[in-house]
Amino acid sequence: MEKQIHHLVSELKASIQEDPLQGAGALVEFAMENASDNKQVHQALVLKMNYMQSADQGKKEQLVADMLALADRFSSTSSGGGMAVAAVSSAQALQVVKKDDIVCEGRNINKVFRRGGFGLKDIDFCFRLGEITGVVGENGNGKTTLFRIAVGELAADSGVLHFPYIEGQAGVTTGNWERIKEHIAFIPQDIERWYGSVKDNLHYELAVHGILDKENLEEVEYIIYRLGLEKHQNKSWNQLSGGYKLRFALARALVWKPKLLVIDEPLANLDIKAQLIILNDLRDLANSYRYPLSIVISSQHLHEIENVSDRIIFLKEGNMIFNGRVDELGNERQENTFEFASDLSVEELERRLAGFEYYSLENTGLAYVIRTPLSITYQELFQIFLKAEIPIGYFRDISQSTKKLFV
Amino acid sequence: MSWIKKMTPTFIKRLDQKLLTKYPNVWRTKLHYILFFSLIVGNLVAYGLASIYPVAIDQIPSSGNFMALYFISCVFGGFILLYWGFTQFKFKLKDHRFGVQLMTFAIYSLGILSFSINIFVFQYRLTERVANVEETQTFMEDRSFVEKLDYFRYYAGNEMAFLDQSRKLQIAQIVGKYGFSLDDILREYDEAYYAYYEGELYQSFESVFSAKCMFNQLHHQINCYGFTSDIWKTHWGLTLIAMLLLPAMFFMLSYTSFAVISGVSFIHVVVLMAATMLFSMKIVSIENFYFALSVFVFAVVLFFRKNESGLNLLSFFFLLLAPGTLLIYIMNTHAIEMSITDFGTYVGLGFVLTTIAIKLLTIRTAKPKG
Repeated sequence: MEKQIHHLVSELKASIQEDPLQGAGALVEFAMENASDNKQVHQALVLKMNYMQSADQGKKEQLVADMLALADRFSSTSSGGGMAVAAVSSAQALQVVKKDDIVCEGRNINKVFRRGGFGLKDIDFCFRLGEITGVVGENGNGKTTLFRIAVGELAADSGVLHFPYIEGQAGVTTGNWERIKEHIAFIPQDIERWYGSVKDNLHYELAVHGILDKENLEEVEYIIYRLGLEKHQNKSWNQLSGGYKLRFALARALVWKPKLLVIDEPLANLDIKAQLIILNDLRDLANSYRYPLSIVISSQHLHEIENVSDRIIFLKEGNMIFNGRVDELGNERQENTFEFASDLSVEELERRLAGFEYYSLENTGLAYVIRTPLSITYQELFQIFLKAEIPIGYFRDISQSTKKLFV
Repeated sequence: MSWIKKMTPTFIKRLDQKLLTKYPNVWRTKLHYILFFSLIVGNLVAYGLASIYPVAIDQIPSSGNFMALYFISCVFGGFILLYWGFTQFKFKLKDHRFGVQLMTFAIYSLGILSFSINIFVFQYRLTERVANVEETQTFMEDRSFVEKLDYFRYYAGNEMAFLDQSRKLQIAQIVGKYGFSLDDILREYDEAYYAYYEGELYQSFESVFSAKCMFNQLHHQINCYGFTSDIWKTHWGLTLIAMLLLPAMFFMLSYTSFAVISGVSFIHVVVLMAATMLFSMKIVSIENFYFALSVFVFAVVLFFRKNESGLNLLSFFFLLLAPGTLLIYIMNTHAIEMSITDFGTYVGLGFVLTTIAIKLLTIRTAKPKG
């Protein structure tokens, strides 16, 4: 292990000497993966930021020397057993913070709104540390209501809601909402407008959560770097795009390290690239080694949500249709479901598929959905389409996707 | 605002950063900016402006001038307070502990008091200069000479003919010293049938007399009284109301939106106006009516409320009820012109009421609503 670290440090130093800017990035990454404490990560971040902002050649040389010295310190920490100690303490920490610890659990949650009569009926859910739970369903089917109940904004009419992991923290007792909410972050669909700069808001958020002085400065720099907000840290609300507003909201929610992060429709106003970045960020955050958290996210982007989530909850008219692991979706299905697009009419399709076995064929408006016996796989269906000379513009097997619950 | 940043010295900026990461609840109140710009810059500017304001023996500000300057200072201060209020809306108070809430309220009151001191410093310096336009004994002789004649009230116009030339010259000299022409005064009184005490000469004398009263230069006078002391006493009365009312509104801004504040404030204004109107018609006791109507209107608002917790609204209403009730009490007892001692007593009383209101707000727990 020691030899491996020395080798990595040598490579890192070579990279710094060859291209200091790229090397600075590598130094930060290295620190985030291997540093024994936050200070080293912070030092690497500061060195990188200073190098990026500096125009003076002399100062740049000094910064390169500092980067090399920091890299050496990683190596020496390793020799002294510090890195090993860090690895051990992280492992110990992992034993204490078990990844499957339940952060929030609801049993038989019911909520009926007097106006309109809509409500949630007998909802069960369980949000675990280190997991992402995707909540899907059409508009007005209870996703936001479920979120508001889970974060303690709205009271349920009946059912049991508790926070085993949070209530296990020091000073947090069952039913003490004020303390429980200190561990929950909720980002609503419409992010509330804020004033001042990104950086000031992050400092303030952290300080009101009791993270003060140097630690406050370090943590803000860390989260700014972590969410790629370096270039935007002095900007105000009006100067940020929708994607960066969401990133800022995430930064503000994450900066004080909540144990439960609930985000309502974060992908709604983002382009495809921004969606991917945010989802990847969320995945990384949930998996965070130092501060694992449970993330609950709702969206209409089923494919993306299924890809990033560990568990899926599907709500329809206030009822829970599915609640389980993503890979369990469709395990007990009685049929296969495929979605495809074709220029042919339903009648023509039915005519051409006349000799083949299938249960139903529906036109959803944008595409066709065909239900077949389990024995027919997507390869076989392709063969059938080929034989029947059916032109296909788009094809997807949705047998194990929540998409089939929508159609 | 960028110009505020440019005007802010480095040590305040450093303090700002320090407070941000160390004392966020103080940082968000912007007390450091208020104290610097109000207590240091504001008082220097107020003192400077009052020092360069044209005051001379032949250019004495009248009581009207004093009132106008007082009004302008209040309007100017009002705009600054409005901006301060907006800054409180920007960074919401996120720490709901009773102690923090009470401290926040106290900071707002301190800020309001520092603005009040600005206005006071301006008036004080101006009054001081007016008091010293003429040596006390000479001024009292001049005033007494003109008043004794009681001339302008009863013998305007051609009655001057009864006076001998030397006395006429003496009067002309005295009024001339204070920037008036005897002929103009006589014409003015003659044409407009002014009484002496309504004229500008009288007002100038009263300005100096009242200013000298304030600075104890007339300690031997039995009836040492003037409008300056009225302004000052009124000022402290208004300061008391402001120290309770404005922090209450700022406090609401720290929690909620302008819409809620406008709503709750509007209800208070309507209630106050209705109560005053009915009181003047002697239909009902104003205090009882005020409370009854408040409760009724609040119940209506509570019923139709949207997106705001009922207990929050109740707390906000009580916050405004404290200064509102005190205002009614002061109006009833005509105590708005108050001495420093009365001021202290009422401040204490007001803060007890406000503390109860804040405690009510704290009772609001983080429990889920609905």
